[in-house]
Amino acid sequence: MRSIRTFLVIVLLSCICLVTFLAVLHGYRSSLTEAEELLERQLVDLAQLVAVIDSNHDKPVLEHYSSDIWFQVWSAQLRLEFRSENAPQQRVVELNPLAGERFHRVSFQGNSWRVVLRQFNAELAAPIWVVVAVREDIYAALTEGIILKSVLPIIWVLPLLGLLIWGVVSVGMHPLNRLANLLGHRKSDDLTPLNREGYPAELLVLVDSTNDLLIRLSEAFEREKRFSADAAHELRTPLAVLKVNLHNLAKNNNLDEGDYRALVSSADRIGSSIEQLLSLYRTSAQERDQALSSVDVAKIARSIVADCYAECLRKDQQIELEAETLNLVSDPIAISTLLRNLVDNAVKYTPEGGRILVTVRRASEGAVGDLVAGDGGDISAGNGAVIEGVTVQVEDSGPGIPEDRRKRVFDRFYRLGGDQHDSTVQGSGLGLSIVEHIVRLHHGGIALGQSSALGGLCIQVTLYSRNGLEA
Amino acid sequence: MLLNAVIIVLRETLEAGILMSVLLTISRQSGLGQRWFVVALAMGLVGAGIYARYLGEISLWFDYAGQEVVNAFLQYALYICLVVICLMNGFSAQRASQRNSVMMLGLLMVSVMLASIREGSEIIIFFTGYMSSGEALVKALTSGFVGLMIGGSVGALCYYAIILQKADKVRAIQTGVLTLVAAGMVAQASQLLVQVDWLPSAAALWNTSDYLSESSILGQLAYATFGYEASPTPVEAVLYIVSLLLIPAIFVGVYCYRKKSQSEGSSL
Repeated sequence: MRSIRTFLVIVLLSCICLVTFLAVLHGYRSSLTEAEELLERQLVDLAQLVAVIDSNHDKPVLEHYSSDIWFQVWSAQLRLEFRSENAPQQRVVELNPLAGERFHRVSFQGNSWRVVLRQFNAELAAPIWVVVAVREDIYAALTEGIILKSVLPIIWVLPLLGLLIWGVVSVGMHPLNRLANLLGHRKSDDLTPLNREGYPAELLVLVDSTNDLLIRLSEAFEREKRFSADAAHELRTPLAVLKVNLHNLAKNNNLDEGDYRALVSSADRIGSSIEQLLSLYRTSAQERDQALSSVDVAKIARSIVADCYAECLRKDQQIELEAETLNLVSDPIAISTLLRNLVDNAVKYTPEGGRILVTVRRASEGAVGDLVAGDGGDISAGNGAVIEGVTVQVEDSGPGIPEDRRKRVFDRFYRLGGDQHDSTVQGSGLGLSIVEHIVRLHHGGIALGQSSALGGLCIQVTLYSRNGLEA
Repeated sequence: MLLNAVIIVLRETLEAGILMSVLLTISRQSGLGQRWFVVALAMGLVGAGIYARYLGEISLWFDYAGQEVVNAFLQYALYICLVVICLMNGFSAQRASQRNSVMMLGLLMVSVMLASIREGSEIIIFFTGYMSSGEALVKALTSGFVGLMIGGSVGALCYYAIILQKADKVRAIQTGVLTLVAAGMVAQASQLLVQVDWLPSAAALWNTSDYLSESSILGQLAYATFGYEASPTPVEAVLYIVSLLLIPAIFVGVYCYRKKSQSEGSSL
């Protein structure tokens, strides 16, 4: 069943039509029987009247009689004593008591006639037979006309009935439409329970189940948030202490230089993972209600590139920034986190002597549709409204990402080549997951490809002002 | 109101309504949509108009047996289409392919067109007789509308009754109804050919009109769904039974053959 409304309207109308018209047919047959009985009674009455007229009439033919009815009066000796002028002069039915018990149908003058026969004065010496006939087509037209007049209103009222059923079904389905509308237009981060007021008992089960699901989802998000925050916080402090202790051990010559560097590198990697976990927490859907402001993306990009400059110099890399001043209504920390992750990744995975190009420009029309999100999902701008957007593109001359693994790089803790990463650079596998998360918050899109200018990875991110989308 | 008009339109639309509702459920199940139905119905009705228009000439064919023979041919052709649809529908779970879908679509369209031509032409011919008299035409059309609505309603209810069944029962119901309707087509075609002496006429094997009259509403429903005839001749009865058993026999045959092949395969 594709539509409940269509189903209800068609089935209800069909049931009504079926029952009504079967009743009409039944009524038609019953009416015909009734009409025949009535006609018979009338013809018998007429026959009686003719018998009376016959006794007081001296002419053998009654002139100027109705053209639809005729009569004959036969003597016991089967002689035609009296008739209407339009009646036949010969017998049309057998004159016997058995024949008088039922209707007869005879053809005369090109018409079909309904004939009734009755014997009068049977107890007297001169009994007579009276034959009365009525034209069948006129009688049938009369009865059919009466029945038709009762059927036509039913037919005319059918379209009205259809509209009425359509209206009633629409009213009945209003709460269901309201619920569907409410759920359909809900923001993805709105996990508040639905209001139970105004829903019929049948839908309350659905509302309660949905509320139960929302509560459990909300609790799960809360647990995830708390776990990330607690884990990051609890791990960061002992890690700082660990690094101080390592430094002290190295200072007191109790630790080999190589071991010291390896231990510090591991500690840094743990630290990086913790920072990323914190970033993920800060940009999670639960944090969307924090104050938004106008963010100068180019300014943040310049700051990020400047921060990375020392590392680029160390690796003899050339980093360039092409940015036009563009403001985006967003969270500056989220934009900063996104840009840092993208540029850090480029610096990390571009070999020594390589090139990195960061571009910030206005998002072109239809940019979102052209992009491929991590899951191919929430990238549509939706209602086609004009939304201010920014495209950030980071290209490098590194090894890039094979096409078949591009989707997986957005998975949390996924690292290309696992822990045995070719570049030997430290990382947590959370960077692009965080980027994808921030892009999703901005209803933007991500495209991974090969840089035509530098030959390495080209990652293009489009972001839209968050107020424009949430209005 | 003319009872004859109701009976004639009801008999035709009831049969067409049940048949088309089952075909629509098959189309829905095969993912073929319902747009084809409108096209096929429109083409069928145009075909019915043309057929009714040239019926005078057609009646002269085959020694004045043209109308009956052509009608019987249409019924037999529809029977063949329905048998193939039944078998394809029964085995489509195992062999769903683009080619099968196109073939099924073609068969569904041809079936709807043949049914529309056959049933539609009868109705058109009947109403053409009333065209000269305005009052009689209104009565005939009103009566026809009553018959049309009863037949259409039964068709719509039949459609929803089938699609609301559990998925595993739907195919069995479709096959059952189509088998009955298809056998009914053969019964009707055989009656026509007996009328024009193309099939031997003989004394009726039995007469059940006292229990269920062909002219009653229930009798019409039985005629429309499985070709009920109160007093069939031996040839009609044999043809009906053979056509009724053909589809189940093919299903049983294929089942036995597969079972045998499987047991031979496992023993090797």
